[in-house]
Amino acid sequence: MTVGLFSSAGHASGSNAFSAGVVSFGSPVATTCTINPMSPGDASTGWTPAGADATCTLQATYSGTIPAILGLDMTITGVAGTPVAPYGGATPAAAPGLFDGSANGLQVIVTDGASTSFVNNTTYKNQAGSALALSATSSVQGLLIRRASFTSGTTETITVNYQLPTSASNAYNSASTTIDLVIHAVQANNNSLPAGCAAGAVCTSGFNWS
Amino acid sequence: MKSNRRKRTLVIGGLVTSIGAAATLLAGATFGFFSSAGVSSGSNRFTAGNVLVGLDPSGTQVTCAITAMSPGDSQASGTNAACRYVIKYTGNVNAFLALDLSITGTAGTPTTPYGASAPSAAQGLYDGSANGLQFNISDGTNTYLNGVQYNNQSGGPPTPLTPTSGAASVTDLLMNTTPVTAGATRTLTVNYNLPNTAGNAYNVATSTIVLTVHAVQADNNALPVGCVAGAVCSTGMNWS
Repeated sequence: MTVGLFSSAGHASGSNAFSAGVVSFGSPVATTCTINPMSPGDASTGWTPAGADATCTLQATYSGTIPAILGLDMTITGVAGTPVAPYGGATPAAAPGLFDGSANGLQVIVTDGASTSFVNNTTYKNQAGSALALSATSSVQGLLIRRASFTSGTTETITVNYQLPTSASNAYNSASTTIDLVIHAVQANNNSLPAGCAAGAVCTSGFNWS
Repeated sequence: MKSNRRKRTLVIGGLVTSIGAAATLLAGATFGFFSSAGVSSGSNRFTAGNVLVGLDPSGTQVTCAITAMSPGDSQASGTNAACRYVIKYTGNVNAFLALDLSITGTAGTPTTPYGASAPSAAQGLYDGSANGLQFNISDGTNTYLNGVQYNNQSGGPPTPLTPTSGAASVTDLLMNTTPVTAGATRTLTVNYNLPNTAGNAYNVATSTIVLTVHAVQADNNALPVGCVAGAVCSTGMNWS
């Protein structure tokens, strides 16, 4: 029922559009670096002293529309080889992988373009800044690439240099190791980094990667 | 009034964040933040090579067991044959090869020769002298033992391989200065001769010679200056 009260049909309403940002990488990149077969003493060109093998790199361009913090995950898996008796000695036990966390196995230095070091030979840093040993089968998540946020179009390059020491023995014959690196990102806005998180070290406690 | 509502909302939001962070620590819960699972990945695979050398299974190996030798006998006498070993390198990294020789012997039981007195027993059929067993060991290119002499690293005159109690050895006779690769073969031939000058001192004496070929990586392991194929190469060289 209507009555004769004054009324109005209403003003034209305003249009309010909301659009979410996105956190993503441009041109998804999956790179593979295969070094085979290695001899003790072999090293990459970026090692000191320089070897002859190619340095492995992983490059990613951040293409999200909102600022982001980038993290690096690393998984190491190894396959034991088949030792043979060395000249003048007995057959050694097989190392669990070419990288076994010892000074005789594969040594790896993982850095980025800003000289942030994620892995130094056989260790990485936890959130407290202490060096922890990696083993033949290790998995490390949430290594902070840098404290400053990335904006769209920023490129990050991870470099892997390596050396098999001359002290590697027949324990490493035909052994192999695969190091998988994954760069991931999370929004930086409303997601502040804990004060103690340093570039190159693990940053997971008190930080949200998703 | 509006201002008060906004302030209250912010406070509530802060509390929610704090609770969420605690949950992450305790239970691994995740927030609904925008994130990327990591479409950018790199797989880096490192594999060590190997160094393997042994008898070639498809080669013809001739192992010698020469008994009842008489002075004047050689690999060409009667049914005798040269000893021959085909070596095959099957490793997948470049390598240097070397030969070790090890001789052992037992003295015999000399008898009195016709018209003379019984001589002293030789320490083995091979005794490093010109009268005992002579060897010629080669691979067709290099000679490793010529009669009773080998070449040492210094490059001087050949060195006699003189046994003690019938035993003598020489190690690290270099077989190649250019690294071998997988599939490379070498044939070692052992020729032998018991000179006519061997007397009753060698009656029933025996000698055994064992050849051992070993290999080491050539990469990052340069040969010392002066090492030549066919001669000892041990000083300054890493064979293991």
